[in-house]
Amino acid sequence: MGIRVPIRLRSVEDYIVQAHGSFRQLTLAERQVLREWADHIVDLIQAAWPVDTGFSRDGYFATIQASQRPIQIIVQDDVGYVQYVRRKGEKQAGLDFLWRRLIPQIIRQVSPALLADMKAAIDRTEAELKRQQQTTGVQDFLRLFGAVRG
Amino acid sequence: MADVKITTDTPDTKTLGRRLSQAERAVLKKWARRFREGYQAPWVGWKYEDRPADAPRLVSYDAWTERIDSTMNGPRITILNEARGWRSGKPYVAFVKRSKGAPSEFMRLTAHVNRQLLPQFVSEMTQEIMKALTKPGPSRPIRDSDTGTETLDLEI
Repeated sequence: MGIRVPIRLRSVEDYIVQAHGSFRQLTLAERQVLREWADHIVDLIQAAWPVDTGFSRDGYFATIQASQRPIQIIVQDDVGYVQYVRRKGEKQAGLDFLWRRLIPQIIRQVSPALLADMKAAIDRTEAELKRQQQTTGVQDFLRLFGAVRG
Repeated sequence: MADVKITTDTPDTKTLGRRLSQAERAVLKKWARRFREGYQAPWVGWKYEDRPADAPRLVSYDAWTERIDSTMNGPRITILNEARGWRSGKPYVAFVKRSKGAPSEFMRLTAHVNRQLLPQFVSEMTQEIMKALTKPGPSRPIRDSDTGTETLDLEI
């Protein structure tokens, strides 16, 4: 069991199309920005998760998908009972399971800054691509997309 | 299976028998991320022979992730990569090599992580745990000693 929450970044996909003229994969630098946000989301979930269920708290992790549509952050927890966790008294108060409330709340909270960071990273890439088209060779272009090391 | 799963225990602290404190857990998390970066950062520069220009790239780069265990079973760090082939949908990361005859890349990086990062992690984790052992516990008021004599009056 466990939970899996794919968070699609449609605004980022649309922004790439707008800035680049068509969809493209994220560059290495853009992926690193997205990865930092994925880590931050996990940190926020874990900080708000009840410490009494430490095993399910530790179980949260995230990956990203940046090579194709949909661009997304995927939050997961494979601990078998994580989907049933509620704080004391929440069941009696008729509240839904914690992850169903907490994760959307955190995503709402971080999304303005996350999208701003991603747009800034895309702008940097596009400026760099334009500069490279004018001045430099294919090696720099490949480096941007992680196709060569260093 | 060709997924990658590397688990790091700290033998000296494995018998701790308690959940890690907040400060200890922060150390564990920090190093888990550093371990992941130890695999992820060099995981670039691949040849994409026979792959169409618009096909996905860096799929396994994105798939590196880390998990920690700060409960009584830990402290433990697990690094995972469960990428699936963009065309086959099958696991493949454990088979990835830089060239024919080279060791699998994750094995090469594991040797690097074990050599460069693991000793620092074990040292910092142990230090943090030692701090907790040597720190005085919360102060508790000590009840005044009762110097009086208990009496029991009986009557028959």
